[in-house]
Amino acid sequence: MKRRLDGLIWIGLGISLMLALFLSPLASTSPDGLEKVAETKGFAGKGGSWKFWKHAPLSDYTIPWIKNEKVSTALSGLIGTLAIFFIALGIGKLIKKSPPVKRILSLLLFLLPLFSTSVFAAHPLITDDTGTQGKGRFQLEVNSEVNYGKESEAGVKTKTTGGEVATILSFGIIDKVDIVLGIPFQWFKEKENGEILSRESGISDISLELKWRFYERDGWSFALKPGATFPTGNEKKDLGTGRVTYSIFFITTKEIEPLAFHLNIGYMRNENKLDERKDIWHISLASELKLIKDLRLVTNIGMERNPDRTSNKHPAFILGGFIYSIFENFDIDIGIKGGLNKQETDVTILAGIAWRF
Amino acid sequence: MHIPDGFLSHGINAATFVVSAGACAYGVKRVNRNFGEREVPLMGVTAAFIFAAQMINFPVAGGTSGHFLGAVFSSVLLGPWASLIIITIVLVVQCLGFADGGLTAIGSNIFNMGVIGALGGYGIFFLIYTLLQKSRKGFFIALAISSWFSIVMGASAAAIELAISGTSPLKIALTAMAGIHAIIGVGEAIITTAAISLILKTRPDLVTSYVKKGVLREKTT
Repeated sequence: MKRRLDGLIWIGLGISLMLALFLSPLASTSPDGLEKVAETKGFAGKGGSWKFWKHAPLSDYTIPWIKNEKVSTALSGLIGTLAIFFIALGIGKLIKKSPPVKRILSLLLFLLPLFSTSVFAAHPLITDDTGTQGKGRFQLEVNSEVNYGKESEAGVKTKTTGGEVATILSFGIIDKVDIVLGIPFQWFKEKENGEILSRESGISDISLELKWRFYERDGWSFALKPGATFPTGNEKKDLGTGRVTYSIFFITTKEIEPLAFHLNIGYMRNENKLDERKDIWHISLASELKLIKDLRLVTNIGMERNPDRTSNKHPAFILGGFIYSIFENFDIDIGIKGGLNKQETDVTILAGIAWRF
Repeated sequence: MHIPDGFLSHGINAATFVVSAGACAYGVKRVNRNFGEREVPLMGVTAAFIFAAQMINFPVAGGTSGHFLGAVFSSVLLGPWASLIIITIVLVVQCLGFADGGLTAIGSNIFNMGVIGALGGYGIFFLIYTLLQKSRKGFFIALAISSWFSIVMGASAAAIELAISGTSPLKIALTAMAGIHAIIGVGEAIITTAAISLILKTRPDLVTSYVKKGVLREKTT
């Protein structure tokens, strides 16, 4: 029974998607009943002059950056039909025989990810862009991540779980120069063969950076970002390096609507009390694709020199995520980062918010 | 029939919002009582179908177009309360995602198409179906007439709201809206009847209001 119903569900959904994809572009573009009446009876001017909700991502059944009208309508219909299917399915599941309290709770749980996946800021990207805030403007970011790592060597299984919440405040000194203060709070737990080896939490090393966008033309822009970190974290607890470190990054951004690419090449002088390598290089490349108005798909790949002297293999990562601007000055983001080799943390989930004011 | 921002007064929008919200809350309670495993995916597909079908405007007389509403269609499949919820979901997504129908007018739109269209439409369907002694022929006659009414009644409700808001005089708004939607309603009746008869041929068990009235049982005995 259930199986037969499932089959029908796919047929029904298939028909709906075909309608949206192939028939909606052929639909009549004449005004509908109400619009026609409004036109002929002379009150059309009352509507459309203002809109209370201005954030509709697929306004008037089009994807803003697809210029071909028919393709734009067809794809927006496809997205809408799929979205409605999952939303109605989710709501149906929630109101199906369950006690009221549980229902409300699960409704909230269902709605939350709906908002956060439509999520955003340059976070979750590791790679920075050349963008600055503008003179006298602030940006406050709260970025969080949770990571998991597993390793086994000679029968010893090490499991690490950890996370970080970083508060980052940027301020535009002049239009092209930002000063950036970062305060990270970290925690981690290391388990060996199921037994807790170490478990720490606390403030890590605070960072201070300057970002200067010194050149921009034809979609290209370049920036330099010198910075330093200060030993506010306890190095004995693995929360910091114990010394002041310095770094300099060279940032390139190229914009080709709806795409943007960012390249970072950096050098860090990793002064430390932990017998780590002192000269660390970094290279990473990121791309942003504007899917629809206010929603960007971001990808990132990069590599850094391993600070561990005993290893000549360097951690590399790949990352994907979304950035969504709820309002013009407020973004939310979500991403997932995976290690491309053993040296990088296996899985990291990132989420953050950015508010510009 | 999706009313944009600016057509209706705030008073009307607030009043219809309260009525619509109340109806939806009661609808959730009713659906909760009747819903089982199989209704949930059916709700998803019905909503997806209605959304897709609503995108397809067909031309009617005099440079005007109309589109399927699906209020009676989903009522007959899943019952009037589930239909109200489906229409509400579709309207909210259309408003927030596609700028189709104003956010301030969302209460009015749910009232016209959900409360009047789905609940009212189903009431007419049920009345005619019962009067025609729940025969197979009676089922289709009731379906066609009630889906036509769901459009005309919804449009008339919109006209009355426009008149109360002082946007257009009642006589002018009502005759114009009911007149043009009387034609669009014919399209609604044809699509609803054709779609339901197709489902009845392939999966009669999915058409709740047909099975429940015992017609299938009569056949087998």
